[in-house]
Amino acid sequence: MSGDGRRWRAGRTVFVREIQTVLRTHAFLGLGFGYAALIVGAAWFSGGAHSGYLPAAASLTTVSELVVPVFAFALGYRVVLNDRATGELEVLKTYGLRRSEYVLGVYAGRLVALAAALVAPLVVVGALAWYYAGPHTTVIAWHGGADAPLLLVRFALLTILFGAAVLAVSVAVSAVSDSVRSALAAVVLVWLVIALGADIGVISAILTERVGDSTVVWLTSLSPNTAYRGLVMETVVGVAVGEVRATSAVVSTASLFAWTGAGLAVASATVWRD
Amino acid sequence: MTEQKPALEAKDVSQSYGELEVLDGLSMSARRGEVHALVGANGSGKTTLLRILAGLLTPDSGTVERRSSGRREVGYLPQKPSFRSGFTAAETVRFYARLLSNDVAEGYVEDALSSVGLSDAYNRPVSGLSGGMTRLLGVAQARVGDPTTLILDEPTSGLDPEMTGRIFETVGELADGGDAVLLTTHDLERVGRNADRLSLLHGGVIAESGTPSEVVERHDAEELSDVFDTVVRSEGR
Repeated sequence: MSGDGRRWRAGRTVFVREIQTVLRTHAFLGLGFGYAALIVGAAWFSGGAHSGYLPAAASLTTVSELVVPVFAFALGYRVVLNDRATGELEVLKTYGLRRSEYVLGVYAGRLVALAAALVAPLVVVGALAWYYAGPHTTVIAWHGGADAPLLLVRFALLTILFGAAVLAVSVAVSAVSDSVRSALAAVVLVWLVIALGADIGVISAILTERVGDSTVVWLTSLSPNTAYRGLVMETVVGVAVGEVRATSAVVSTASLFAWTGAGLAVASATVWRD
Repeated sequence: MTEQKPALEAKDVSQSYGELEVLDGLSMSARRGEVHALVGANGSGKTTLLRILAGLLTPDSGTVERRSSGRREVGYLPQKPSFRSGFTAAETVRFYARLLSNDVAEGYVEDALSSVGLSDAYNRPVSGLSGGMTRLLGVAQARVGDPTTLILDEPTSGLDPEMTGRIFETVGELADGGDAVLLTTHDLERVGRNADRLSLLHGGVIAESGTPSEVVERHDAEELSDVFDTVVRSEGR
């Protein structure tokens, strides 16, 4: 073993191990295949995959909104917890690993696995759309109502951004939890809040006329789910079918990054306890 | 010949959890070439002390000095360690080595496993290792980066006598090679046979210290368990 530059080396080592861990864990692989089957099945049976890239993306928006958080939580909610329970965190500290190195290494490794799992079924959906609706679509050109693969690519990127935010929250839950039971309870609670609570809040605000239309557009950017949905409507569906003022794209994008940053910050602050 | 400074030296260390005072101005040291056993009743603060000595917990007061010629200040084995399943013993050691260096020679991993008698387990998944072999892998992990001091928290708890003997034999060999080994255990018979020095933690301080034979003689006792009974059970806290 010879010496070399230390900067982020340990974090990179943790990152690589996380990817290997996911690839070697049968439960994660099963979850990935299950997710892929669900997405491809949803696109197929809804008719979206037969109709083109845009219909495929539109048909997958709601199911992704519900299932991506489940997948991201499953990947992240035990990662720090397990390392704490086995004494691994304390061992890693004796190697001089910094909080941020560990958290970012773990997060980035799981994110790569998550992104691959999110994109893979969309590649299949894209291939189906190309095969069945190919004559009506072009590979590179789109504007003002035309369908194109780029819309599905854009949908995939937004889905990764959404998954990244939820994964960061799940790593934070894992870092602050003391047991698997409390982590599971926290995950369910957080999922309910971000998946349902935000929608209920926005609908309630509209029905009671407490906020105006312009404020609603901002409110829908606050939770990861509504921000993701709004971004899909704004930048995928809206681009092709005309003006859709579902959300502020800038604020929604910033919201997803903020959830990611906040999750990682909480995880970094709580991962070591002394 | 001048005497070497201890590899690890704690001075006036105190630690409380709320109203409970666990360590009360405790001082102790661990020397190169020695297996030093830290014994004491359950709840006496052994693990707290080890965590402070390993730098994992900052004491309320007092100082800990660690002198290491390696790339880590100390090597640490937690109680009942377990490793990521899905990886082999060699991959596990390589992971820890890569935390310190990108360039980890295959020979380094082989030597690390060989030093704890796990050469045959090189390609074996960690989930297939016995409890004792997992502890030995933990000792190999603790040695990565060549720290001068190895801190092992109950490395023999729950193991059969044969594996307990193997672990004491292994740490004895490491001490013979120049490591300072500090471990906690409840196996006083093994301490009497295999430890070079012992410290009995009681009442937040080191109540007894010395070589096993010195401690036994000092109390005019037959064996260490008699000393333990006298100090821990008779005196109370």
